[in-house]
Amino acid sequence: MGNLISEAFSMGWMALAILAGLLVYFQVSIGDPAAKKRAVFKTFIGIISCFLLFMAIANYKTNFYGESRLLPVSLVMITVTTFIMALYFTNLGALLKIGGMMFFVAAFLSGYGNWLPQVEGGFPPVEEKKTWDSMTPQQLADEGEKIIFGGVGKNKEQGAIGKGQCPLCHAFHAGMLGERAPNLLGLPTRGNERLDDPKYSKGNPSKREYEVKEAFPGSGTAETAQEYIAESHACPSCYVVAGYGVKGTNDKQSPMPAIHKPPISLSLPELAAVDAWMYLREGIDPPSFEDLVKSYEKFIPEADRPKQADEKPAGATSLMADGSEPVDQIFAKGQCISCHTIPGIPGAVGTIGPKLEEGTTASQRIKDPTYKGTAKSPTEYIMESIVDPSAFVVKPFPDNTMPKVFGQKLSAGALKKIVDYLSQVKTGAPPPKI
Amino acid sequence: MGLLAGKRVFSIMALCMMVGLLLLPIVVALPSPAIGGDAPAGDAAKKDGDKVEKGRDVYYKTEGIVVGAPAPKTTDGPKDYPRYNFESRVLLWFANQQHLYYGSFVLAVPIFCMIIEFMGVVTKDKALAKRYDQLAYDFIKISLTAYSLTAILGGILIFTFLTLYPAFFSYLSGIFRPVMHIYALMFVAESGTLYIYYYGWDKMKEGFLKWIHLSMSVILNVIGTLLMFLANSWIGFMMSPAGVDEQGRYLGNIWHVIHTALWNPLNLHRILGNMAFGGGVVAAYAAYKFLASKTDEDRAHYDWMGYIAMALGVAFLIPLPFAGYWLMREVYAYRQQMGITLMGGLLAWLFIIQATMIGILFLSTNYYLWQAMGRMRGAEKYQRYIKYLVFILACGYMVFITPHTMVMTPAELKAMGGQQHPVLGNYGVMSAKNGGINVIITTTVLSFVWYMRGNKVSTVSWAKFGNIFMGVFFACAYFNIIFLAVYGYYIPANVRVGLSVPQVATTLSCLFFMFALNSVMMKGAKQMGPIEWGKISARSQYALIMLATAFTWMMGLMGYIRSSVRLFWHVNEIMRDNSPWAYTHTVGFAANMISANVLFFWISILFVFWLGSLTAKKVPVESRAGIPGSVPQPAASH
Amino acid sequence: MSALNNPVVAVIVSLIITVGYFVFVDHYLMDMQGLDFWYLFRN
Repeated sequence: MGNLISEAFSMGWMALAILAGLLVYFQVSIGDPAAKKRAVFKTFIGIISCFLLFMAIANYKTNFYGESRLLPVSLVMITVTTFIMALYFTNLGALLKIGGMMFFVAAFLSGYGNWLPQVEGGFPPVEEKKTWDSMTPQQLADEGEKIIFGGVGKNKEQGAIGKGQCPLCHAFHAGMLGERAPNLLGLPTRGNERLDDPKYSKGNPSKREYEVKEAFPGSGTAETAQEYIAESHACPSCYVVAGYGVKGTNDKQSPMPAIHKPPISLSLPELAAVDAWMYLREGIDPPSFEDLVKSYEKFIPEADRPKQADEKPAGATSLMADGSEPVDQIFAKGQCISCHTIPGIPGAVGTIGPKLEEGTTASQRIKDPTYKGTAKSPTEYIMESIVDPSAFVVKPFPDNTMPKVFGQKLSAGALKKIVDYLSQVKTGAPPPKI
Repeated sequence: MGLLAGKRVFSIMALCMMVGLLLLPIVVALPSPAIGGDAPAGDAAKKDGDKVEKGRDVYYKTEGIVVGAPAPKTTDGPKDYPRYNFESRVLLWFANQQHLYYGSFVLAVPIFCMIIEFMGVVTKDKALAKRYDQLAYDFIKISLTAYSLTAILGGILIFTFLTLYPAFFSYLSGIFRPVMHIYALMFVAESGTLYIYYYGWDKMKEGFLKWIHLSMSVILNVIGTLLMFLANSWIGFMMSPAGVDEQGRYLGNIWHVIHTALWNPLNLHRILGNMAFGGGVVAAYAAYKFLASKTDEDRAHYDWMGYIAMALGVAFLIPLPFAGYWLMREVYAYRQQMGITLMGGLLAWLFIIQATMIGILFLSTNYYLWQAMGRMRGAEKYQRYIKYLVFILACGYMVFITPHTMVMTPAELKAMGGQQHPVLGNYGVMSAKNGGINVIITTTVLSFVWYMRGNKVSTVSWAKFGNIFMGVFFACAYFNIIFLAVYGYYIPANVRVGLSVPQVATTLSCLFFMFALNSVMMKGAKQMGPIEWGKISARSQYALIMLATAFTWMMGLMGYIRSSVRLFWHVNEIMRDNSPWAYTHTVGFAANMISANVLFFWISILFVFWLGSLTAKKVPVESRAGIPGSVPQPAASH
Repeated sequence: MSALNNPVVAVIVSLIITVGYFVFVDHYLMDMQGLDFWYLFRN
């Protein structure tokens, strides 16, 4: 306040001095006492208004780029000024009152705008054209880490997740046991062991007992460790590591989606980058970029390869689902279907988490004596379960299995659609319309 | 007789000249596509041996021969982004907004002129016809001063563009070169037509000549509208580019570049918006004159002028949301992501402000109408019911502005214990909001009906039944809207959206049936007393000013939203903005900026009005155009 | 016409027309979107 006043003085001292001079001049020059009194009073009002005006300008000048939400106060000051002036300068009254009214409306609206939560759109992501084939192995591995974890050096961060969404199910470091999928530490060396597994039946895909025999008819099986990795990405159900199949299928079918297909849709160079990171972080020299891509070309037919050009330009969000999709796609994009069985959602047959019939179960769980969460209604309970899964863990499922990232990775609209859908699913009733 | 015939020949010649001016740009433009078509073909023939480079249209997906250069890749620095010690974007924002305000004003006012002049020609009442004619003349006089200011501001805008964003501007002008030339010629045509129209007013005011004059106003408006369509093609291209390939290279088809995904919705939205805005400005002018006038006669005239302007503005305000809905649907169809940024993402709070403002607009309209009943004898019978309308409006408004789902950080999400507020979350759903706004609009319709029958008593034999029917219809309409809103609570969100259609249908039924029924009932009705123009309270004029200011503000807000939805692109997905100002400002900063623009516009246009009154004083046009001696001196406020 | 000038008759006739009209409008516009008055009870 103090600095505003001094700023106003330093800006407006000339105008104020002229008015003050006028005050003195009227005092001495006008003879008629009534006229003198009126003139002096008017000038006095003028001085006050002028000062308010300069205060308002000073507020703008000093705070224009600041965080201050009080800028519209200036407009209120100007409103007051004009109405005061209108009272005493009646020949300009209409104009001043109209101006004052306009300032008031503008002040109200800008004040409202400043009162609302302030969100600033950040700077756009730096434009980069990826030239995959000329990258050094290290650069390629960095790209891979970005795809898996969302950033270079983030691989040890809890909950870090990138476009590939791998950490949703897989663990990457020693001692972390993935409940849903194998730990990927040592994969480059383990690949060869897997090839020797009789169940893999290398070179003879028709003997396989799995749901899918080949990545595509005629693709054959992997011959090298790298080809094994590529095949696992392109055709997860061609070979399922014992204990990690979809429950109830006797490990015949894998819960993992094909990574080159929607919704994840990694392109071949991106998959190569992911693999390069897997090699390099264990100190093993990765195969060349061309060889990596070639290993994928063996298992992904031309028509199925996602085009680089189709990639959304920079600025696409890091959200898994933005809420514009139909609810079944949200369940697929969030990978919910890998772990949960959801009536009415195609492909949602996972058994790692509970069956989601929240229309019936949510209210029972809130009444559960061991329930410690804050939800009061079924919809709140569903929201809480997504955003903060450990608030209540359904027996007999273990805690800390469900990722805690969905609050950040699903948009508000997507969450709402999920909650709306799940709250309508009731035990024993036909599933709701999507 | 000879003189009259001469006049007639002269005026027909003037009309022909206008048509000629209208056709001029088209004639000039005709050879240019031909040349444009030939040149690439010739080039292609020349380097037949070489590979002719082909590109694929980003929107129309057609193949075309690459003609233009790719969109430049700018870098931050004085070469691509020269600057003063100030944010270039804010300067451009200011220049653009002022040009737009004045531009839409001078495009809207001739349309009003056309409507009012036509009303004057067809009205049988001689005195009223003369008043209409004088009003139209007053309007065009105001717009004439604003017209030159529009041109000056346009020049300033171009210079701002050239000096602050040279790389971007040269790319844009490279693609739109022929369009920009046609635009310039159209502008010449517009000026010529406007001057002939204005100066021919007194010379052609009788009989056949008047009809020629009226057709001139039609041509004037056709030119003006085409002018705006061309300007819209640039912003349409920036939002939803077409006619270029992925690198931004022009593919030789100028129609694709103009006719982008959002061009037509923008055209419609802007025409309606301009009209409502023009109505607001003229109403504010009338309010200013009303408050400043010293005689009853002046007050009567400006009261009437404010009423007509307000009615025209509101008439165009009502279809505006539907045009907005179309635009928004096209945005979603063009890029889902863009629609989400608008409605549920970064810019969602701005739509909350917009909702507030729509409420304010309707509230001020209602307030004005209630006050306006004060100038009719016999309208007292409605006065005591107004308090109930206020109550209904307030309830509708409260429901309408309650937010429901918002962009939130996970922390906020957790603090609130869910996506919705524990209490308010139950109220802000779309179902209730639709109910709220429909209640508000229906109440506005009711106010209008009361106003129209204020000083009249129906004399038709079924008057009693008509009145009862009207009351029952309104009551049932309210009941139906509220019932549907409540019903929406009990059915899931994906189905409940369907309820908004019958709600809107109910409101529109009230609008059309009740207006029609009322005008049938009031035909030949007994007048309780005359409308005493000028006997309206001063407060009502503040409602008009509020309407005008809120409308200007809303225009600035929506323009900001439309422009900033491109985020960090000059041309969406074609040319990136690499300046230091590629981020999106906070809501508060935008609100302050819009306020500054609005206030600058109003201060400057009050100055224009004052200039207009100066000429009126010098040349006392027969009736009451000027009010000698009573005009305040707004210049002193600068 | 004279019967219609009786307020009670007028109200009843108006009610029948208006309620009929709104039920008709609601029904058809809801029907277009796969909705109806009994949606709530059927589910």
